[in-house]
Amino acid sequence: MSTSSSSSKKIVLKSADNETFEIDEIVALESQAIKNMIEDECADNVIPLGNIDSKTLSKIIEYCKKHAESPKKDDNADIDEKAVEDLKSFDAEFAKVDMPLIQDILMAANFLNIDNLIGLMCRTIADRIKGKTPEEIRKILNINKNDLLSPEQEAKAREENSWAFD
Amino acid sequence: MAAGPALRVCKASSCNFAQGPQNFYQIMGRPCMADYISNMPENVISNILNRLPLTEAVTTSILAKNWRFKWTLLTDVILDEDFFYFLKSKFEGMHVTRLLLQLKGPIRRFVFSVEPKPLFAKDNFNYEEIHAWLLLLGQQGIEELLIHNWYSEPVTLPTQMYTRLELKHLKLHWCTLPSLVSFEGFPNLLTLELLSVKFLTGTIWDFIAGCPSVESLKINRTDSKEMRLLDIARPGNLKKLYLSFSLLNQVTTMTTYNISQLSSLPKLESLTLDFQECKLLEEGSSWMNVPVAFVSLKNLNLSGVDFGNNAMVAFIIQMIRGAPRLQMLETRCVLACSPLLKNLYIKPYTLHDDHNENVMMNWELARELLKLHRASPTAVVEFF
Repeated sequence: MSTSSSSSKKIVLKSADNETFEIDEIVALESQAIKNMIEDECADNVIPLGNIDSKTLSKIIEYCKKHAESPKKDDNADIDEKAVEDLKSFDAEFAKVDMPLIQDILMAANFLNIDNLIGLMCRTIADRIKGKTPEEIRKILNINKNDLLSPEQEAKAREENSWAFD
Repeated sequence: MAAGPALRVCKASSCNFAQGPQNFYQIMGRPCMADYISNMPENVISNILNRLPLTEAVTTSILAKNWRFKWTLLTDVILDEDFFYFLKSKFEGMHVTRLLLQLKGPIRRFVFSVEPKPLFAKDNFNYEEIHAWLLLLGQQGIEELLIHNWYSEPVTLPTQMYTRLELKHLKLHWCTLPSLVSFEGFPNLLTLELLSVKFLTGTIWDFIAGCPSVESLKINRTDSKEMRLLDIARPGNLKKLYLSFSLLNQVTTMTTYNISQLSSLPKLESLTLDFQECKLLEEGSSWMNVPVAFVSLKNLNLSGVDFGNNAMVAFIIQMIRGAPRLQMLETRCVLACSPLLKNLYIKPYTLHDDHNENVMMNWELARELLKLHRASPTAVVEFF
């Protein structure tokens, strides 16, 4: 079993548009999927990610780098708090992107199994639609007009859970 | 928070995963017609829905055709203050029952908690419905269960709850637990809170003994006849302990020796002891002969302290001496309830070789003490 003891080991990720990214192994280990590959010793020097474009991949690497660098749970509560604050503001900045990119990051994070990043993206989406009217949500999510329910269908949907509607 | 059944690259398949040349938009599709979310994997969609207030998640059913039943992917059912505030008098137990019947997968978190009891929820439903909801939670998957019952009668929980071995967090308020005959323990339980909880057969101590991984334990007003502190001290992972020495309908008598049994917890960081309904007697004065008793303790919170009781005073001093890593001491009631108090001396028992560290620790303690309210205007807190 090879694990993360040395941080100098490098991993190369290759995006769908053939761009390569050399990163420290410890950064790559933020992805549970890559971690599994490395532990199974079936990762070559270059890991091709045929379904993630370079724009998305570089965002994901930026995220993993920050999270890998930030100190993990420590005995010293003071350091903990500061690091947590720092990471929080990083996450908040990181999530300030448009919906198509959020979608791409979320799909890729889910594929690479990066739990924290999946959570961050899901929270971002939830926060954007929270408290909004159906019309506003449709706009945010880019729901096509042709996909809407007919008035009869909508009435039925409301009736089924009438308590949840005003 | 776990993302539910996330894509798992298991050992057998992990080798293939990078070779997959397909673009996942070809598999899952981002055809021009679809919106940003509805074609995502189900675990992602439930992750998003779980982060919305329950009512908002349910109302996504009218967004579009392919959103019609997305909300049934919810795995968290949180009936909290927001939920009840939104529903007001519209709330009926039947709503929750129907909701649970429609959900697709196993429920991961079920929270029924609002305090105080909402005025509008007076007679809207029979408290036995809570029992029925628990039967609908599915046989597997539940990790967090929180029931805060506000009715005058305790809710009796179904025996099936003992089969939920995945439970990580269990908080019950004013409930009756089924016979422990069928209880084989909750091996994964990390948080346990039992407030005013009764047991049909068996005791709270037998229950705690079945939860060896617990890190956070809170007990108040048990129906047991005795305080079995040795059983509390058994889960060696315990970091946080809140203990109110009150038994349902009676005053407890506790000895300092009993309490010393807690000192065998090696990881205990935060300890809250409430003496409000407890008589403390001194017994076995040698209990602190062990030089350091609470090796990891950082926060000590003592309330309901009777400063007129010598045993209590001696006990508190012993506690502080026995906790070399103490950072935070809260003893509000000592100073607030002791109008005749003249002097309070605190001398931390220190093991640190590093002098600076000792000074810092003392400084923190002193600062916290200065913040406290005092009933006695002449009380002097000395710190050395």
